[in-house]
Amino acid sequence: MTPPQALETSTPAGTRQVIPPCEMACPAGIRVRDYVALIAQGRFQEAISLIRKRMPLASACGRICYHPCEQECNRGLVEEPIGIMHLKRFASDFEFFHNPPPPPPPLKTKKQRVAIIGAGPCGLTAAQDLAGEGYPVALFEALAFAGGTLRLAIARYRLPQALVDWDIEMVLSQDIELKTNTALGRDLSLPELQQEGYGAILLATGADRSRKLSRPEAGIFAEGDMAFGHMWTVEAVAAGHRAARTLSEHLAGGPPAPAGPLREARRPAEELDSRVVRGQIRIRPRSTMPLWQKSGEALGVAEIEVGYSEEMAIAEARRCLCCGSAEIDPETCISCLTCLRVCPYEVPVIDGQGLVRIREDRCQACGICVGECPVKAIAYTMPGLEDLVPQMEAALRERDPQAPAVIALYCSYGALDPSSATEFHRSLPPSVMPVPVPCLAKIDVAHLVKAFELGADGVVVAACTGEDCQFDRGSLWAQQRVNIARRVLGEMGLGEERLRMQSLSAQGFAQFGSDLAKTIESMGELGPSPIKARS
Amino acid sequence: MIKAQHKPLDKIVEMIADYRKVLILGCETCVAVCFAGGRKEVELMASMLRLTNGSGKEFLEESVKRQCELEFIDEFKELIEGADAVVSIACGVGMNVMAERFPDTPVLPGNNTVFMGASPELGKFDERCVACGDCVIHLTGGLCPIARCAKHLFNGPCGGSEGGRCEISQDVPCIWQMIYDRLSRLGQLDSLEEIQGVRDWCTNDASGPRQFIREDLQVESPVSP
Repeated sequence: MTPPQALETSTPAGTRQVIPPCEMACPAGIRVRDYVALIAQGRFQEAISLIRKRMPLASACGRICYHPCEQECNRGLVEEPIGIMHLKRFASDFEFFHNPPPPPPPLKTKKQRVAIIGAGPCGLTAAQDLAGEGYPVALFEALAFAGGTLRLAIARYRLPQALVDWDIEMVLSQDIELKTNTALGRDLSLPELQQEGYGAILLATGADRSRKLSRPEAGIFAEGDMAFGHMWTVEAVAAGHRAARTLSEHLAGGPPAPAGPLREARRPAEELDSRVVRGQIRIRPRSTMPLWQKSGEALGVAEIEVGYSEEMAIAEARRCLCCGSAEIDPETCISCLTCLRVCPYEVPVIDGQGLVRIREDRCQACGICVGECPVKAIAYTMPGLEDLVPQMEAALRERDPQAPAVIALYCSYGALDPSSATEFHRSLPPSVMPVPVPCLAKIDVAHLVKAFELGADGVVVAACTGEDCQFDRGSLWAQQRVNIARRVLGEMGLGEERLRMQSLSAQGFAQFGSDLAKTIESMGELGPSPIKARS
Repeated sequence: MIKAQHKPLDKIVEMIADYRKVLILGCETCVAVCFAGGRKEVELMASMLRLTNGSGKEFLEESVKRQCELEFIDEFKELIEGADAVVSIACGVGMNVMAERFPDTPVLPGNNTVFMGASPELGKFDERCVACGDCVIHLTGGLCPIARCAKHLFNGPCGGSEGGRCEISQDVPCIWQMIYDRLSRLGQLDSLEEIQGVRDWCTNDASGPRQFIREDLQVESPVSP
């Protein structure tokens, strides 16, 4: 399967071969599933940062894209596809309103300079990619402003200009030099640029009129509309990525190592139907985009579409089926069959060669196998798990050294709706540090013991109950692991009571709070972890 | 496969008392399958030791493909020799191979090797073979009366077989009952007619450590045709 773009195959959890259909369909190769997961977990800024890596014009693309990702979304076979474009817009609006400082510009590690003619979607993307690789990049634009067609051809009530400004500002913050009012053929020529020492030149001027291209010279490349005719914004961005890759190959001398074969996590309709029938996937219609009403106001200029609220965005993102997010590294796997035996959905199978394979067309992404694999051969390639230990570390760093430090691991997917998550955080005593986990089936015994190693005095595992659990048996496995970890704590002389399991239910939220307070109080009576006295 | 279990933590703590830099070394084959030796167990044991016995000590973590193979353990020669002691969570075979290969490094058992067996379901492990060296299960319906009979009987059950259960525990099925039932189903009950004589246990452990040589594989240099 060859996707239309080079996809990022390395993840914090390992190299992946399985790609969800949304990402496979995106011409720009945005990590769609993963940013949707970050939104589902309330990690909005991380979501937009991930989007910007492949889609520098995120605010624009969140409004005007033809979203081929949604056409291919597996959820579309259940009831309706995930509102991916709306979610992207939500993430970019979040960034716009919070106005965070841009990420630090990449170091200029390369000497060869690159000139890009045309600061439209294609040129901006190529500039961002090449700057990211360490090349000094100059961007020349004939008009008085960057943005190209996004400025010229789209109605403002569809795409407010302030947002295009913001997208461009984010690109230019990566230490990219922009020269406006500088037209090729009028203010500069290709030989001049070559004389000035630009090692590669990209023509991405767009195609506002028909013109002839002469035979390309070494070091001069053309992409986007001017090379291939009119294209959608997302395709122009894809062209920018392509151009950056070509230029970088030209400058570095030789193509990069090819990625391994990829598999698409496309799920058959009848398989999804059977999950619905068995209650393993619940029907949850798509959040409707609220439309502009008289009293509504958005971004100074009224847009027709107002955008999702945080609650709506999280609810929508949680509809994601997380396709293809668990895969086995065949080199680490010892074919012990544990995954095959623990999976509630009968997803792993023994292939013809005696190897175990997680069928990407069936995986429900519950992560139970990830927690049980004895050799850590199963990578959970979505965000949420690889940073669990750092999250606990960070939480414990901020604690008050006088008070008992209690970590509350809670499900960031299930029972807690977004508004009660905020309430949940507020209701916690100051000594309690909440750490969200995308379903507690994914934590293993080593994680729980690690919390104590990092300095926790107690750990509460707050798992969803029954209906609230996204997955079959997720909480049951969490309970099993808590039981083992309690035994281990006992063996270590720390006391089993320092680790508790508590059910978290949306209905009984108040009850949960008071139960938790009691648990923590009784943990306080246990005194500080004896580990601290020992070390 | 070989089945093993962790030793109690306090035993390990006692063993490592005199060592500062301790390597926890896992094995990714049999013992990983029974959740006693894989890299996750290495991580957990290291965490547990740091928590109970961490002060002044350094714990290193590594896991090799098979600890019973010199080539695999040699890959980690520097790491192993750099440690004051190695807590091996392989089986006894791996531990021995380690000790012979690294004469200056103490090798301490983090596991008890318990038997050769199967895992009929997740989390359950049953002994099935004792490597006696002279297999007789063609006479017993494929079921081993040595590994699975407390008395290693060869000619039918003892008087303690009751209702298909062994007298040592109601949880243990009488293997001779199972052998009878299976032979009966296969129409091979006549194989029980023949009395099995006294067995020569030299093929088992009665004549010391066992070894066998495959001369066909012992070619020192390529043979010219």
